[in-house]
Amino acid sequence: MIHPLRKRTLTGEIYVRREAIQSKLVDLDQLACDELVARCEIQNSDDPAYVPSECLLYRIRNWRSENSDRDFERLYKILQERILRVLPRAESGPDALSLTRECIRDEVLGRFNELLVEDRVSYNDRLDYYEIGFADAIAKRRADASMRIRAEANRMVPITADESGEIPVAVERWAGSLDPTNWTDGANIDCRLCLEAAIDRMSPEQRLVITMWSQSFPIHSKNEDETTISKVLGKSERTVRSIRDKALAALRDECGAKMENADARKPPTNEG
Amino acid sequence: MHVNHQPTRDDVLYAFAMESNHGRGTLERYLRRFPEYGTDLIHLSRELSRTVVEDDQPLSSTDQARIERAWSRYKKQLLGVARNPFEDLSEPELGVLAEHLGVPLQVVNAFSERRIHLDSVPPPFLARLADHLNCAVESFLKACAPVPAPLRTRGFKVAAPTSGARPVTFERALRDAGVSRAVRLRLLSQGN
Repeated sequence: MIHPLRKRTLTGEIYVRREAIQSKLVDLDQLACDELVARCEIQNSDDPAYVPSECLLYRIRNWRSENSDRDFERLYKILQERILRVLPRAESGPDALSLTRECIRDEVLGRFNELLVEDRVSYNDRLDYYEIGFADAIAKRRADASMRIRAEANRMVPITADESGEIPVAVERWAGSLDPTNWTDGANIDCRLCLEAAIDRMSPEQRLVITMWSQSFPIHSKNEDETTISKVLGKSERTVRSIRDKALAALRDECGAKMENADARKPPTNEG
Repeated sequence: MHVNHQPTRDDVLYAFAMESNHGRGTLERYLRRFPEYGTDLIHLSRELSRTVVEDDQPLSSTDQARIERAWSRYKKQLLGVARNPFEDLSEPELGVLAEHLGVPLQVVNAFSERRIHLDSVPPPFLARLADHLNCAVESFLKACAPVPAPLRTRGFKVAAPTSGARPVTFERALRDAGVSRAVRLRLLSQGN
């Protein structure tokens, strides 16, 4: 029998696993331990025999004591490895971003493992989130770690387009012409990763503005009910616009060549 | 969104992460409802949309060492700590367990709450109980030996009053639960 989750949603209902995961758990419940371990070692998530991390975690949490300790150790280590493989890897070299990423890897893994230990002693319903959406729960853990570590590191001076702090008119015009919903449309992985690394190096304010802007939140609105970037940050429209333009200009400086290649690949729009 | 209690920051962020869609509409809904966590929600939305490229290179020696350290800590921290096997069971499952053992649910709850002196329980009964809980007898003895405070809170009415929070013998627990003399003798004589 597959044990139900116990964590409750914000509205009080018990969370349920996604259907595909629940169904997979039923299938995996029939497997002998050695067969389960062999399938968990499959790394390719496109392989039909692949065991999703949600299911791997369930089996770890519900491990029977008469099963082999060696099998348990293997499953435990596979799960650790999977977590590390989806965390940004520190590049070689001691730059600040690499150090931050190393700290994030340590903190995310460490905090997850604390939950595992707590759960072994007494059911910890926070681990239920990881059985619902493992990748998304890890993303939340990663967000916590990066916010804390960056705040402690007192982030470096935000990247700016030039020393004077003024934005060249051409860049301002360019920034204003960008459509945030598809500014990376057609961009390849290299371009996206370049942009994300550059945004990682920004100040918290710039990062917040860029994130909201890329999701088409308006900077300002006459409609008082509308959620705007100004409102969330508690800053004037002019200040937010300046932050955005500086951040975009800096992104263009840092990732410009890659972004221009992405622009060139965009299909022509049908206007007229 | 109707919220029954004042959720913590963690509750809100995890709830957002568990949504099937993290786009502007969902983010805006959360920003309106939980403005105090606005910047955290935006930061999380960025993490959720981050391009994740699974690293398929062999693990670095640093990462291998991380995993070994994590495993060593896990083993060390759990050495001597036995999880209460009843924790894994829901209330209906406890009822099924009681039926298999041939005792009232009240007796199963007494075991779960560590209110029975385990040395007063016939070994064959202990073996059956441990087997049904999917654990070894030794693990069960370690996990369910009486402690001062009960670990579980029951959510339903008991059939007969308990003898109190202090541990009792198996025979006393059966008597308090209304088990007939004949059944008590049968259960207690197992293994003799």
